[in-house]
Amino acid sequence: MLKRFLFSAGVLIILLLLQSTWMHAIAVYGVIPDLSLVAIIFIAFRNPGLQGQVLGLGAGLLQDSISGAPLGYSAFIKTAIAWTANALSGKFYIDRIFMPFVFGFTGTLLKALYAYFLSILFGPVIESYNFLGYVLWLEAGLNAVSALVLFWILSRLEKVLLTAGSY
Amino acid sequence: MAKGPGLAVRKSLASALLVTTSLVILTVSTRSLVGVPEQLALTVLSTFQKGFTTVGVFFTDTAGSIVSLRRLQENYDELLKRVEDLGTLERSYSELKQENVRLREQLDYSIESNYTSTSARIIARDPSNLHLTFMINKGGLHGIRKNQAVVAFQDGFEGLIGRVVEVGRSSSMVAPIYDSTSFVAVRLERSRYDGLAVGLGSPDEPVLINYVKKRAKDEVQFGDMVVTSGLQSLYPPGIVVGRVRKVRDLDYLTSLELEMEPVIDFGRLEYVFVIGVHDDGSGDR
Repeated sequence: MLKRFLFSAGVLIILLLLQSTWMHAIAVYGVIPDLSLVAIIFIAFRNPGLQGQVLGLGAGLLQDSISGAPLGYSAFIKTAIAWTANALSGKFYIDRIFMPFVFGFTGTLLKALYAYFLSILFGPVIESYNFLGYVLWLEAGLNAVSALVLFWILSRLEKVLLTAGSY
Repeated sequence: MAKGPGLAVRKSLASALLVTTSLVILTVSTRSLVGVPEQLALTVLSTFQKGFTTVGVFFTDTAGSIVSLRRLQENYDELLKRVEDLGTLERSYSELKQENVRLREQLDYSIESNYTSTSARIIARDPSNLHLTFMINKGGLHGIRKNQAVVAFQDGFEGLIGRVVEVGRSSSMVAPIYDSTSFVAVRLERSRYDGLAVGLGSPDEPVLINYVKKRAKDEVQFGDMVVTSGLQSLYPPGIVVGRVRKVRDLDYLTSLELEMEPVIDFGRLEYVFVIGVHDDGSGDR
């Protein structure tokens, strides 16, 4: 169980590193996909346990440490999104194309909502998305497309990725 | 079956604990009480970021080396011609330098520069789309300190990039001038009016200059150079920041609002210089 947990944490760290390095080379109008978010949604949806939420907190804290965001910002957003995906765990069948696309897209919109909630709570120190700006919708699109690939890859790794109790 | 409700309650409590933990961390960090955990994680992760960047750069460089060879030949020919031109210029330069020394003495200026600079390479950018910081490969070990100014050379200009906001052992985080949390005390080089440059949070949007007196309206022109004023202790004076792109005189404002285009194209930034100030100099915190 610990091995699987560490493996999934390792996957998330690699995705975070990709996000901060190589992904910027293929950014669309300066916007990059949030690969770690997509992976957390997958893990939290496929495992009804707390694996997704714990990984969300950890990956969020790591992301905050290499980002301009205050420590705890991504941690909250990723934990909260994992909690939402957890609540939906097992309620949908994930096909190859449609559902990953929907999860990637709505997950990003949810992220924007949680960021907006934090900006209300903590004031101007917290950056939130402009709902009419291109960044949010472009990121949602990129995350949706990334989810097609990531969900397929992660579903192949499920046996070594998800801890006990997964579907 | 009897375990069902109890297990669900325990899981809900654990979820609430995780969310609360992240909120507590956020509460503490927004009040700047946390520094060490961030620095530790930054130091560790930046080591891996360097690895990823090195691998990426290796492949990019290999592919680009063929094109580079041709460009090098062209550049070589061009530079040879420039060397000839510079020979002529050098003679004029030495005359001007002597004249400059004489004039400086008359104006009682200090000739020695107060600044030192440390070169650094950008190894990673912010993993999120809302924040615009980037990581450089020099940190506390190389003498980098928080709030030092960062500049870069591009197309013959030395331009302001931003400031160091976080320092790890061998890497640091830099916030660019177009970041919405960035404020730079600036001066219009020609007309000498002061203002405060504020980022709008996107490299595609101009930087705004506020608090420029209304009487400057007739003197400010499109393309006027904007430099740091040094009134704010973070940035040393005289560093080029950008050029005026638009002047707005809004009735409801008591000052002019200028749009400025940075002189540095942040999209093709690879190397930067972190400016340090000698112990006897001003401008470092």
